[in-house]
Amino acid sequence: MSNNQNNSSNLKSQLKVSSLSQEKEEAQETLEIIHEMSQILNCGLDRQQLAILVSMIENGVNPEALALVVNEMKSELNTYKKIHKQ
Amino acid sequence: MSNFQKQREQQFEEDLEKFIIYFTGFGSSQKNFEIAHKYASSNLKYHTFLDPDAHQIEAKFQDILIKLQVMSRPDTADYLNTLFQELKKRKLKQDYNDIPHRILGLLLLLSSNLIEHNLNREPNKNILKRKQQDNMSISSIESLKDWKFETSSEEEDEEENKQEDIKINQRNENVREIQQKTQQNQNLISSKDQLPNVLWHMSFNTKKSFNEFVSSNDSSIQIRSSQLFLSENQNKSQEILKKPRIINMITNERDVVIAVLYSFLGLQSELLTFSSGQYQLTDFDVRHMSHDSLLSSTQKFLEYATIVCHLKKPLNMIQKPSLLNIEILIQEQFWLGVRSILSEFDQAVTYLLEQSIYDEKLCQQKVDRSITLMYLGQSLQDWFVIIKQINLVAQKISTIEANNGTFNSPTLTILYNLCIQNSLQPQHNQVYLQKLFLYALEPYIKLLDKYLDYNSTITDTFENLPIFLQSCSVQLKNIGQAFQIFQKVGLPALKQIQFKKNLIMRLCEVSDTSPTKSIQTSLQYCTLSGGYKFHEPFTLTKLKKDDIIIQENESYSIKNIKNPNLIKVFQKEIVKLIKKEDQNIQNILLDYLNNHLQFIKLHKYLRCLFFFERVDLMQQFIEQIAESQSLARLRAIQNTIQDLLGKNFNFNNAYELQPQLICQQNSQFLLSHKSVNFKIFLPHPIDLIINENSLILYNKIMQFLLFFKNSKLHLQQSQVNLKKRLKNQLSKFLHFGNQLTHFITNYEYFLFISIIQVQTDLFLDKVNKSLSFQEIINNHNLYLKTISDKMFLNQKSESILEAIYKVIDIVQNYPMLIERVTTLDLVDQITKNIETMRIESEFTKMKDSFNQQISALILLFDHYTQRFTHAPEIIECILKVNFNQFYK
Repeated sequence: MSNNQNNSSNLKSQLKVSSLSQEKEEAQETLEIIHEMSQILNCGLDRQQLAILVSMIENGVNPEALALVVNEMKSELNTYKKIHKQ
Repeated sequence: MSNFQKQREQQFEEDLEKFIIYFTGFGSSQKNFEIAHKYASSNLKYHTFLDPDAHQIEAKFQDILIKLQVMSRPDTADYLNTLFQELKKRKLKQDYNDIPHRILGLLLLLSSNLIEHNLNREPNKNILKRKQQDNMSISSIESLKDWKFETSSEEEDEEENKQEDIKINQRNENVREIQQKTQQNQNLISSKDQLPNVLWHMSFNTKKSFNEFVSSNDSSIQIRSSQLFLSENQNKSQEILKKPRIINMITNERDVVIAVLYSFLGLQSELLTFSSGQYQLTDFDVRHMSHDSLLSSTQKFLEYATIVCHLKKPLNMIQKPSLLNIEILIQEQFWLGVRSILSEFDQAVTYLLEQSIYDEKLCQQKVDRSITLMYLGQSLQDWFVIIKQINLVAQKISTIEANNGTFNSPTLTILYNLCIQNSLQPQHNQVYLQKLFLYALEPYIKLLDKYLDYNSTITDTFENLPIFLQSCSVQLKNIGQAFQIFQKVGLPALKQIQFKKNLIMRLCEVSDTSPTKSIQTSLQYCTLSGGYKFHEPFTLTKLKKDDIIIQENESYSIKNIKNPNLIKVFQKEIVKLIKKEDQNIQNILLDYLNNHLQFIKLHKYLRCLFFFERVDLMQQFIEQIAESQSLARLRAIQNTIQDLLGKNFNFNNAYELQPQLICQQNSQFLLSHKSVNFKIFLPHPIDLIINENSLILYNKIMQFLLFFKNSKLHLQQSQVNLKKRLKNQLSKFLHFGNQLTHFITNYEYFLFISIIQVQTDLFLDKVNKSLSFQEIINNHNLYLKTISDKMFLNQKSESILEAIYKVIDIVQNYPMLIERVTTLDLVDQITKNIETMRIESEFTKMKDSFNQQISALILLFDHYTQRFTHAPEIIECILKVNFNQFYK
């Protein structure tokens, strides 16, 4: 009985692992698509940044506000870098 | 705060921290991190932006695509569009429906220098291909947040892409092959959808596709090679062959046959089964096909024909019969057979035109009649359009060199057998299909017989048909003259056999109860003085030899003939002679009658004269009686005269008027006889329009109008005479005469102007505007029907017609009464007084009767107009006809 339970729990865990990996692959593919689009549109974002942004949008952040913040951040960062280089 | 909101808040904070770390590179312990965090947090939480509009984003995206296309980067535009479409298919977090649009909106807002960036950049198309082949579903990208992505440069990406390209290209070749196969299968399956819808209303007994046929029985295809194509069209054919669309429209021979049969024969239930390598015909059912469906299916049939005609390729070039090539072969063979049939059709039509032969026997068969009737509804122009198109196809196909007369294709064999089975004359078995058309065209071929050259065919000369139709309408414009023709031509029609026969029978009065007496009377009438010789047309040799001993070429005295049967025969022979209008016999008989007037009843003598149309003799006789001033004798024959010559014959005027006038009057009187019918011979094709039924209607209308006109004429005459003779006296007669004249005049207006003139104008307008012969015929029938209905000559309006006749009878009796008044001077005083009293009483009765009849008639009109509101002319007539009301 205990062996069966162990076996079933092992199976379940194996299934979970396989499904998780499948999900991750799918997510990766989706992100690649978005990354490709951003490359064409010359957004200047890498995959990690894109993942964060997409996650924030999925959680309900307004894209316009987010874009404003991103652009502001970029510009401020450039200014900061220029100042610090000097 | 709810748990969901707390989770959300927590998530947001986490994302924000990561956002700042990834975008700024600041550590969480740094002051700049806090500032950035505060800035981002406040702007993201407390912004004033509206929710993103998916439509606006989509529109902006489309603008970007257009921009890329304008930049001569259509590939990039397509790729971008494809990526976005792919993104939309992915399963993202379901909190919002438009996550892909939101993501796109973000990317669009973050994009910069689109033009410069994409000028030198080539899209990486491998991503999509990989995804298509794998067909995997997608989950949220949230799971990728924690992954660490390698920040690779563009060069590294390109190297990776190249390696991926090599792998993908190998996969693509395999995919292409699979796709082609699936496409072919789809095309074959979906060809049914491409065929006209009309075919798929039919029920198929079996549905074997061509593929099954080919795969199962390759060897059963018996196709002879033959040169079917013209070299000049070879390039065209190759181009067309490359396009699978056209060929897939006709996937199997059976569909082609169905289309052709449907077009030719109007078959709706289908018939062909394929078994053991042969096509078989199951049921041959002909059903009614509507005009529109016939035309549409014929047009589609012709489209197929024109398409197939372009599929020209020498058969010897085909080495391995592939699926498509076999189709072409079979189609060609089929069209060869169709061509031969079409050429025969043309030949048959030409033959018929030359010979003017119509297979009437076949028309009598019920089956063919139903087919004929099916097509008879088509208008002439439509039929000729169809025939022209078919002949054009025949001409096109005729340029193909091929075997003639042999049916290599099984379907052609089926058609051939069909012809044999269903044709009723074996020698014309191949012409059966054409005959179906010909029966429908029969009435029109009659037309063509007269107006086409016999050496030409329909294709050459049917263009004259519109000209002919125009001339037809010109002829019909003269239809008003036809009424006058009726009058002139109809007079000789008085010689009716039945009429004569009745008179003769009355004259002879052979009765079975007292044959001896009847013999005597008949002898009085018909015997001649002793020793008279009969003329040659009458021979006693026609008598039965058993009855009497006959000696040929001897003269016989009728007095000596005592055998009643013989007398009957003699009388019959007399009738025959009279029917043959032997003037000699007529004269002889009349001479006899004149010589034996004292023995002959006066009225019978008059009838005899009337029968022989010797109006002059009748006039003489009447004059004689009038001269004798024997009123008794005049009264004795008065009824007869009135019956024969009309009620308005004036005895006193018999010797005043010219014989010609009397003849004219008499002819009018004769025409008023209701048994008179006009017969007119009309040239073809007018006889198609004015057929027997319309002639009956014409006669009906004419009889009524003539009767009416006659009454009016004599009323007018009597009024004139009354005014001449009695200027100051008998004003009440004049007044009543005016009443009658008022009625007659207004009713005449109603008949001739409101009804006939209006309807004739409408009819002529329709004729001028009509587009087909059938339309003219229909309009003519409607014209006649409308007139007869409006004149109350139909069965429904019998009551009204009776009332009208009663009024007109009064109109006819009135002049007679006037004449009696005027002849009072001729008699002695006692008779005059008696006659005056009689006349007064009759006049009062006549007047009352007239008033009653008029009011009854008006009531009937009124009732009619209430039932049928479309009778404004009757309302007008009612207003005018009532004298007392009119002149109030």
